[in-house]
Amino acid sequence: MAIFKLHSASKHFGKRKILNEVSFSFETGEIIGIFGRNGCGKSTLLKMLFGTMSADTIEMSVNGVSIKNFTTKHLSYLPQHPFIPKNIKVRDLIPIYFSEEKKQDAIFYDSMIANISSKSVGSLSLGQVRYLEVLLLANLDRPFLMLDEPFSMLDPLYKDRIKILLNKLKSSKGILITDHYFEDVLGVTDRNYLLKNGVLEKVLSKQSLKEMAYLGDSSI
Amino acid sequence: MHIRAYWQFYKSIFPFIAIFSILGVIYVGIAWGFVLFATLGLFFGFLGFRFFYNDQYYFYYNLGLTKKRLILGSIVINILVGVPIFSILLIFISFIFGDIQIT
Repeated sequence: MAIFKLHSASKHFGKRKILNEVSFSFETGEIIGIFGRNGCGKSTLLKMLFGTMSADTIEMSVNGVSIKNFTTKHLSYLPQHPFIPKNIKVRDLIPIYFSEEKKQDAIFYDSMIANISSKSVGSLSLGQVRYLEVLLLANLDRPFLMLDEPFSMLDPLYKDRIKILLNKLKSSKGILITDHYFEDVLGVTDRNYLLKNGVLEKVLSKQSLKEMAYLGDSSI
Repeated sequence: MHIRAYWQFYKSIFPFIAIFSILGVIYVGIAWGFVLFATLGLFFGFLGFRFFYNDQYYFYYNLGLTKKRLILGSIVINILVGVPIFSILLIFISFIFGDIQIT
């Protein structure tokens, strides 16, 4: 089992303090969700954890060992926008990420990938690309996975496939999800937080998302 | 080593390098064209990638390849690719036009 701890993270843009000594932890075997309105700092937080955005202050550890800067040894990160090169065929893409045959086969023979392996990434639907991205990151040897809006704009079939995959991954990874599709997130997470005014607050239920002014009356 | 990943990144920046270098060869000759290919051409390659494919950096970050590593890898590949290309170009032009000044 591995435990990721964010002891404290702060960030400001101009005069606006977007993250104010945010702290949380998660471990392998659980999925946590972070909600928040647009511009509240969810993606900023994830990028800071991944090491691709500088923080005012950040202190984090894995199993009690402090980690700094580029954290790819421990974390993989699905950014908000598709990141796979479009001019490459799926079957040529997989060996770039994995040299071991066993790992390549795990992706090649996935039921959703097998029939698109000869297609170029640019010709795939958004759902197919997103599923492929999650699958690639899921098979990397990292104990933690962060997903920024994995369900956005996906059709129900691919949402379900990603949820099944996440539940399968849960036994070996700790997963952090941020997304506005709260029903989908609540369907797979064990714990949830709301990022509001630079601070993380615990979310106890769907109802509390309304009480915390993240959801409107018609959302529930 | 992620050689395939470095090569994939280089393939993405190569069109920008090539366009810049072709213009260089046309306007300042083969020798300076090669210098531009290896220096400013690369710079325009990185600039083009940043402008058109910025999101794709995460493809490489997730493999543990930082921008610095990608730049260093591309410099090496660029020389390995550039030397044969310009040598063949030089031989080809010499064959057609006879002895020429390379600058």
